[in-house]
Amino acid sequence: MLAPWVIFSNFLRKIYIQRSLIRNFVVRDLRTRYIGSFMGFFWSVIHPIVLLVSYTFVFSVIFGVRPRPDAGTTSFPLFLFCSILPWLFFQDTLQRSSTIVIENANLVTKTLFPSEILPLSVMLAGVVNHLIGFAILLCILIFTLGKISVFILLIPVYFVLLMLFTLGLSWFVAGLNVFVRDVSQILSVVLTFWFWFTPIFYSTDRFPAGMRFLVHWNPLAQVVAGYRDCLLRMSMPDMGILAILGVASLLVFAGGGIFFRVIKREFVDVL
Amino acid sequence: MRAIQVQNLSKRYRIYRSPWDKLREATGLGPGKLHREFWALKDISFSLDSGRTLGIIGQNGSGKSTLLQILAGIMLQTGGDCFVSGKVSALLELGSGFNPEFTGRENVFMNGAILGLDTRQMEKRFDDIAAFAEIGNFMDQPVKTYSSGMFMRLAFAVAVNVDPDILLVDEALAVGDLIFQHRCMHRMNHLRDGGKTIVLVTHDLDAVTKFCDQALLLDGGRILENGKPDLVVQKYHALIFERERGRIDFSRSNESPDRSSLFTPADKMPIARSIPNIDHRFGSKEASILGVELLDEQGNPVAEAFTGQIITIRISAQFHCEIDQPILGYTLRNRLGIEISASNTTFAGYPLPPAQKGQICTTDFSIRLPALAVGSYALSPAVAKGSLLQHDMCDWIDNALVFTIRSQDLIYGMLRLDADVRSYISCAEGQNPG
Repeated sequence: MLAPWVIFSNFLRKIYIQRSLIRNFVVRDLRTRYIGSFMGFFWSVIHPIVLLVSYTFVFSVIFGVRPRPDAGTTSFPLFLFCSILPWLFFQDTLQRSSTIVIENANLVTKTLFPSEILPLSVMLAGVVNHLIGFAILLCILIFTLGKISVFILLIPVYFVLLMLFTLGLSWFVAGLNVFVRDVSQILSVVLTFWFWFTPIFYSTDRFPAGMRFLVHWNPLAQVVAGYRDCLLRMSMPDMGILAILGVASLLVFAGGGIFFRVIKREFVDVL
Repeated sequence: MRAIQVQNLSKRYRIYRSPWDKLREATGLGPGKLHREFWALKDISFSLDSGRTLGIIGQNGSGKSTLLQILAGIMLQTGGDCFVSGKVSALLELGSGFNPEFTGRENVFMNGAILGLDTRQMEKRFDDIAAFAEIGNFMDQPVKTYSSGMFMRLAFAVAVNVDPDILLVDEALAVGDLIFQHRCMHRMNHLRDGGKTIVLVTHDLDAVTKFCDQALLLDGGRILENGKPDLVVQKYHALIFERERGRIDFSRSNESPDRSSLFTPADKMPIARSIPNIDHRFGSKEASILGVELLDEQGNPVAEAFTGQIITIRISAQFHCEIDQPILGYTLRNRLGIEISASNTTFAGYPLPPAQKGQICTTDFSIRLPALAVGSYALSPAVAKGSLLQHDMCDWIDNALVFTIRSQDLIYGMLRLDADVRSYISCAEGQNPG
């Protein structure tokens, strides 16, 4: 029995060898979503904007929610946009990954196919969408605030950790869903809770003190807080929390990878 | 050099009542055993030298596809060893991984990537693939607009152009029109002659005898026979026959017995009594072959015959019970086991009358021997009951009589076709008639 880190590093090396195939799959994933549709790629922009407008209407106009004075902005849409961007990446990737192996059952059972690249390419396609969204956010920031802080350099760190965390979980749900098809349904439920219990519409300190642990141990909450710190408040994020986030993300990444590596041998028997 | 070496290979499927059980057992959280077991393969051992061609045959569910999936490395075996040396291309299903929304060109590159080739390598092969697939301008149309024939041509073109050392093919050739099958076969021949190792899972027994060097008969996950293709195919025929015997319900056909057969006292009629060779024998034994002979014009037994000569194939059989519609016949094969011709009393238009228990019947088939290629040929006599479409084999002897065909003429191919030949030759350039 090999040590887990050996299994995992071999696993990563094999993925690296497949980069040409991965590129193909990312392109295919992006194109499948928008191919044949008249507006094509613009849908990836339109969807978040619709979300943004609707949420802003409900929370800002109806309920009169305003960002806290220390939020760095008085504009609720901007506050929301900045917070929801990393969440949408996380949610889309996870939800789509959960069924991706089953959708490609033909490849898994009929060809010598490295199925671990399926969640990976879903994630990478999500990265492309995220970058587009981020570029738009950046334009708005410059246009409305007129400046950006040096802490923006920390955003890639947060995002890479979010990628690792998301991919680890994606491997986990993708592998599990092959055996138990309810996983993708369960995931929808979990994600709904997760969404509302993550400080996206509100700032972290609005969370009831007794339940604050839910935020502390929620990597998404930390990533969202990090995005706001760097982009809106323009203050130094808590490096201790960033370090913990880093360790947690790496653990989830490696754990999900090893889980998938072990369980994928059974795929052909089940699919 | 061995391309494939398989030793005591077994594959067990675990059948679970629900997927939860599967997960509970896999994670060790369940109360021990939660499954039924099913052995798809049991104790399979064989080897294949590099550059050789292996045909795997067997009924549905015999484990053929599972074996191929394990050879391809897609599936893990439960026990035993499986060594495959060289780059493997598995063609388990045509067009798996094709996306109907994308153009043919995009799918070609995508499929190439799945089969392990990067874009640059695929670009080099693209022209060959396009030429083989022959889909012209459709290459840049979405695959969903293709006819099924075009789709298959493209998929096959990609699979055979990735240049594998070992090609594993599952039933892929059974689909498609005749031209396509012909072209695939041609391509496979080309690969074989180029020294590739090929494993073919198929129901096309002709393809196995013609194309393969070696064959494997699987049944219920075990190897029933492993060896020369013609022998293995015969064994398979016998197996199918045994299986079917219990099932077929005989409906009486309307053929009325012809008076061409003569009732003769047993001591006055000719009876063939020798069976020189028995490769394989099967049947219900409701009747049995007594002998088979090859006779010349004078009625003397011969071991060789000349093309153009009139020869008589004499088959004698005895009935051990009452049979309404007996049939006596033979199959002629060449030395490669390819069926040259077959005939029987009913097929030839001389059906036998109902037979009583203990009766003996001798049938002479007299034919003018066509201009077949010289070499050795084998006759397999048979006695059956029923109609042409539905009959029940009583006794079949494979290759009971082997004889040689000689010829005064040169014969190329399997046989010589005499032709009237007329040629037209144009005038040389610059010479106008008149």
